[in-house]
Amino acid sequence: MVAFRIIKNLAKSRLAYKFEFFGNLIFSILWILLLVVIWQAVFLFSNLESIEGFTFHDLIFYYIIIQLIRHGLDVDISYRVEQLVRYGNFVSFLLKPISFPIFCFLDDLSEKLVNIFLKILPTFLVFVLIFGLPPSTLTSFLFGIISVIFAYLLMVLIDFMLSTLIFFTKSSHGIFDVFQTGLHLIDGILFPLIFFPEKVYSILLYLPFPYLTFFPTLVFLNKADFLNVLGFQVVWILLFFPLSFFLWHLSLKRIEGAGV
Amino acid sequence: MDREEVISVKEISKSFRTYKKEAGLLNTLKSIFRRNWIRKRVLHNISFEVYKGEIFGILGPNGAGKSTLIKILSGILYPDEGFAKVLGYIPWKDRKKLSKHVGIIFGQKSQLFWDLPAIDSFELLKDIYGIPEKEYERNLRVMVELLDAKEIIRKPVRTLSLGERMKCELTASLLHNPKLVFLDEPTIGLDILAKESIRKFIRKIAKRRKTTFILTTHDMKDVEELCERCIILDKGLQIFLGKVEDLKKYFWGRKVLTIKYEDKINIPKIKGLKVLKAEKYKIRLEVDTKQVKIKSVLQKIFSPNVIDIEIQSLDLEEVLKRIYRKRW
Repeated sequence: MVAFRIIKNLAKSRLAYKFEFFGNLIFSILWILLLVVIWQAVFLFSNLESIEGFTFHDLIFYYIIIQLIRHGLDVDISYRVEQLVRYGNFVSFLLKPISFPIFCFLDDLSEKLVNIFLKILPTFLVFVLIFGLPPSTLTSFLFGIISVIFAYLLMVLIDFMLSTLIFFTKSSHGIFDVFQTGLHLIDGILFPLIFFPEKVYSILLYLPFPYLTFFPTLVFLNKADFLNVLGFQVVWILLFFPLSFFLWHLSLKRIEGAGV
Repeated sequence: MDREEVISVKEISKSFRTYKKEAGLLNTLKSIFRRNWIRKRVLHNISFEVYKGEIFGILGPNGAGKSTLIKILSGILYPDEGFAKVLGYIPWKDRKKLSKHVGIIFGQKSQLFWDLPAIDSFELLKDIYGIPEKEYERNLRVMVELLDAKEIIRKPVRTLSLGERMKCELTASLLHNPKLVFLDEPTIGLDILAKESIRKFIRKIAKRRKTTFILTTHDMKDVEELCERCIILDKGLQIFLGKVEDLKKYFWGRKVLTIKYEDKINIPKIKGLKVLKAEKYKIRLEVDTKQVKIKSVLQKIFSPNVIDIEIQSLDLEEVLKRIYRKRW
């Protein structure tokens, strides 16, 4: 109940930034349309029915869904923690009777809920009106939603672990950037990871990153083994959950010893 | 004295590990590989008590260790040595429990959402602290009335003046009825009127609710008007602990004479008269009126060459300046 009210209050604060709120969505839609045009050309000139099992229609929805999931998972806890530590009032957060990691999570969740209802769902509906229904079944759609929720938890944990770096380095900007860039090469935003050479692909399968956006998208499109994907996600969550708590406690010890 | 102890601090010391780097590109490169670690003492052997309903001052120049002391008392930092109890808790062990009864304001930082009206931040704090609806409404009404802030709390924080924002910060940190409030330079950057109204508010809250305030400040007027007792820190050392009155009493009866003259004047050697600063055509003298009367000093100095005479008493600011410079 308390968590719900906190989320509600934080969600209100999100809506104060209207331009920022819709700005990156427009960019994202343009990006989807650009990729659609490029792939249209590829299919037109190669005369292929499908590439690695993806028809043109599949690819359109691949890009739509993966972009929308990426938006949904755009966790920026690390950025906010860094801002709090550098300019704001991180210390006063430590003096509130709420755990800082939990507050970060609720804060981010509030943003994601606002995003889903005001950005992601409406955009998805508009795309369906333009391009028709996605190649999903009801089951794949439901499993897709579960897999996105798991992906979100995984992303929160990864981002939170990154954010603890700020307590050990003076500035963690560079590390965030390297991480973001690296992530975009292997999260399937540019093209389905299946298009990678087989050896690379088989290595990626054992990393947590494809389970953030790529596999949830495939689950939606009914192109992956649901239980396999969910299983890997759960394993990574179970691994990262204690690790992120351990890192947070390490950071706390450091803060208490040397200040922020 | 039979007063309830809110804070007791015994022989607390704290030092930080930091590294020294010489200027220059080469040294910067060197410091990447080998760092010259040094230990810097921030607090050394600090002991004091604070009682319920008291407004207690922590004074000291920049880098004296005031903020570190507040961070230790609120549980954010743990000391290297020594012991402290705050509201019955050991702060660095029971920070979460303590935080329910403590409010804190850092004058240079904000705990409010920058782009929203303060009232939205208050609502969030209500949930975080689990303040019952009725108590929240009553508290908010009282604060808003005392601070005359009815309009202010409904405007986005970024549009507020510094003084208005401070009113909102004060409200935010008092909504949950804390027993103890840390104020880290609450009047910094405020104009005289705003300072006045903030001080009035703090006095009232301390009196009405028996809230204890710990105040760090550079503004001596804050201390003179608010605090009964204070501690003075300098480079981590406790150089004074006691009543603000006593601090002033030491210098009681000392006056500063500033005399402007042309050509030349004769400064007699009298007991209780000391030259502070001599310039060309201007001299500052300190007179201890317990030893010599101002009247007789003036009589001896006065000559047709004197243009102007100004007599001032030592204020707390001057007192502190001397303490810091070790010129008692």
